[in-house]
Amino acid sequence: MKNYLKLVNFEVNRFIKVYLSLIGITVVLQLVGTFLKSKSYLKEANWMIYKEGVPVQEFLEMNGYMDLVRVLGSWWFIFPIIICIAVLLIYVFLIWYRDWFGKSTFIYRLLMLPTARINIYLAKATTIFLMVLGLVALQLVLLPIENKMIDVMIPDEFQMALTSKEAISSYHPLSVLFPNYFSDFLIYYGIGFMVVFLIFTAILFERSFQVKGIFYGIIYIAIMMGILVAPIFTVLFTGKSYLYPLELFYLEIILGILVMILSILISRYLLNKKITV
Amino acid sequence: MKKLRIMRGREKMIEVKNITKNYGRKKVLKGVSFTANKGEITCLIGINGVGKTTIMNAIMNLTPIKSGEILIDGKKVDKASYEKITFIPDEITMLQQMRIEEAMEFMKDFYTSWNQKRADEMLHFFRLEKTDRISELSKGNRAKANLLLGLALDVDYVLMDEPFSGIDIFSREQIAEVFTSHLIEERGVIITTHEIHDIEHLIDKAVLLDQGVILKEFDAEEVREKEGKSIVDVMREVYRA
Amino acid sequence: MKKYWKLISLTVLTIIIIGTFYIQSSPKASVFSDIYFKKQAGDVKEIQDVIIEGNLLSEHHSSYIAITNNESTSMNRLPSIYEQIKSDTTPEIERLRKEYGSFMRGKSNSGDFYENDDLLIYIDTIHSPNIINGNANIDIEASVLDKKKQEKRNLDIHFPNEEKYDYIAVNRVWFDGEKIKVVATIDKHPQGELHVYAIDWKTGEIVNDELAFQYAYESNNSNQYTDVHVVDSETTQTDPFFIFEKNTYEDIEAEPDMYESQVIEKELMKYDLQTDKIVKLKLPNELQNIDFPTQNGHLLMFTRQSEKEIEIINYDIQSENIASKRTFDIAGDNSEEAHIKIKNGKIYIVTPYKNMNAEAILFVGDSKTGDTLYRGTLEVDGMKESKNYEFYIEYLGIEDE
Repeated sequence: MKNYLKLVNFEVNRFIKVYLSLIGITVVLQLVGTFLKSKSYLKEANWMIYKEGVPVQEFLEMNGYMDLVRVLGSWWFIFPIIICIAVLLIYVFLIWYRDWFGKSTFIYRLLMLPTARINIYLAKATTIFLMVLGLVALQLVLLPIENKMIDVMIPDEFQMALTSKEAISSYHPLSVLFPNYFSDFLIYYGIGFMVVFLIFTAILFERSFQVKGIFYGIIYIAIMMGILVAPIFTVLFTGKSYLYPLELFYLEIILGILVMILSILISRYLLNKKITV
Repeated sequence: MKKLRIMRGREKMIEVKNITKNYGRKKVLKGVSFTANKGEITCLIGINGVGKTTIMNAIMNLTPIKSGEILIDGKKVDKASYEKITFIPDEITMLQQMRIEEAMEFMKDFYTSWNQKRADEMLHFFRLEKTDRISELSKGNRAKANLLLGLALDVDYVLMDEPFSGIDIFSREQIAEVFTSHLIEERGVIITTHEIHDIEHLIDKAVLLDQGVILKEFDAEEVREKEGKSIVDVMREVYRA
Repeated sequence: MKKYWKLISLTVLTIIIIGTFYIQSSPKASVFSDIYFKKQAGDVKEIQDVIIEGNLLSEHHSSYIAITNNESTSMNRLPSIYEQIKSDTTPEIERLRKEYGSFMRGKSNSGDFYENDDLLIYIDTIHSPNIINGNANIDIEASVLDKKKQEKRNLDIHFPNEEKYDYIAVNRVWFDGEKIKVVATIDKHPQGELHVYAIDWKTGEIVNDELAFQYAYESNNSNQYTDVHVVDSETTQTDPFFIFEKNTYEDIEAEPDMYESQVIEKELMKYDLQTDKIVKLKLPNELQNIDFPTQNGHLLMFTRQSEKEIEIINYDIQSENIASKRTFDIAGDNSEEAHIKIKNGKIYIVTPYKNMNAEAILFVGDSKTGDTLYRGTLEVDGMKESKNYEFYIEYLGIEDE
């Protein structure tokens, strides 16, 4: 346990610079974006109302109100999110391959640590999870700040008072990243983390059996996916379900957990018996 | 030296028993067996690509073997073994961006067998700067830092893969000096090399390898005393045959 | 410890922030929480089970809102996955599952049930596409549970000529003590048929196939077509009969190339499930043109809306008389059709439109006495731009207890 925590700390510190730049990019772009969007709305309003003499009511009917949703839909907001997702996705692979490739022989050191090797796997997985959730938390902090910026910059009569939560739920892509219910959050991110486990295990297959290992990894993922969707597909194809919907739901949760446990067990075996530097 | 070995009994040694390994269809190890005793320097000799590094990796459980068995003091390698045996590969096994002090911190963090006093001693002896980054070290200094990180562990066995390859003459001398010091004494050492000259006089036991098989395993001192041959003489006989 | 500050602060902050988000995040939407019904008369308890859904439009925003328990929820937020799965059933089926757990396994929500003290009967039709000829394969699944013996029996039922049918919809299942009667509408393009099958409950054998009515639902060249539908009943388990409505329409060219369908004939028929006799109901003239009544035992309930009021007419099919007539004043400026639901002797009415000037009214009345049980107006508060909103009510439902 202690060694596991040390390894997590080590892995987090290894990625911290890239991670802080991701945070930096997100904060800067989103805040600048909010500022510029508000500014351009104000400019438009000033021009229309004072120069063109359009009544306020008419302007609002034509242009609508200023609110957070306008910011959420802009590239200023979406671009950093896409970057963060992409970098973390790549890092799911890099977190392993960086120890083998290039000049690095660090995998020798990791495998020779006087600790159970599965701790390496778990520490890398934990690092990915922490990084993902950390960015989720960052966004949850940024949204109210951005909302406040709009509130300060735009006169009351021109703004729609949405809370950041309402803004999220009215902008669909975000409600996937930040589901409304904690149970949904657990399901979405649980699935995400299960996929990380699957990819990690597939990587270890590749690292253990090289080219053949790529096929093993793909087959492994396919079988696990098969196990997960089998109950649902049976219902879809036969049109009948022996299990009641809630039972099916719980079965899927159990299967998901089993898939994760199986991934960990197989990875432990590969790390102990099959891995090669 | 010999007396010492007998006194410690049979248990204190690395036993490699009939190990085989394939890379795909290619058989790289075809039944390799030898032992390396604690308190002795055993040298795996052979040209590049005969499987010396693979044997080292196999002893450390860094690569699977197809068959055979490897025992350290009569036990298979597990996580606890890494407090008893260490491996110094031909490249430094630390992150390139780390400073030497950070690398030592890392080792201290994970190994109970880490001996900071000895590390400091070696740092001084090798004239390395704590604050230097590994990526910025010269080739010779990297090899020294690598050696430092391995030898500062209070372990019974040390495996070294080609410690002298591609290193300038002064570094070589410095490293060779280590072999005669208390840093090595009492420990069991396995060293690989394709070039015997620098360390011929240090070696207790030689294992001659070719094409994944052991051609000859012999006690250097015995051969010297009884047959009046140097290791190089024996090598000539064996490899030319 | 000092070495771990980055890890610790990252973890702690993340947990606190995400935790706070979800602790605060109740699915009730704050902006819309000010949409509710303001009581004018009656008892608020009466609207506890009422569900109203509609679209709130304002400027560039629209929200689908549900009002339950007099509290509004933005439906832009779907219920959680767990809730969606959980609510994928009716209270009735939920009860059957609890009581007859093993019998109910593999029974779909779409099937029909009949239950008396001794038996629980289930029938469903399963249509699966036939890969070879593209037609539907129809399977009839039927099983009977003998409650006393706790015996389950699957019946292998084949309707005569079923291979020629495109679709079979079971409208009602009824049991006369010996035979299971299945009322089914059949689609045999372009014709429809209403069948009443009698099935031996022990063997699954079709004892009788009564063709109650046959009709063409697609006009070929005469521009005429007919449709038939079985009248909804709240008392299907006890009624030894069912009522069906058959309407004949004709397409009339109102303007060049603009066709309107017009009812040219309209009949209500009563089918006696015990004797297989069909009787045409003789409706008084004033009920002739009112569509879609609902049935409760011997009473047929018709509703008629005018601008200011909604009228409920109860027609007794036994005495062939209008049993009662009630008028509910809905007032307001409502030219659009109100949503009406009748349940357990109560009528629920909601007028469908609300903006700054137009009022939307929710009304609950006793359908027999005409007494007002509740009356309230929809209030939309708490929007900064309340001047420009429109609220379209699109659904009225009554939750089952």
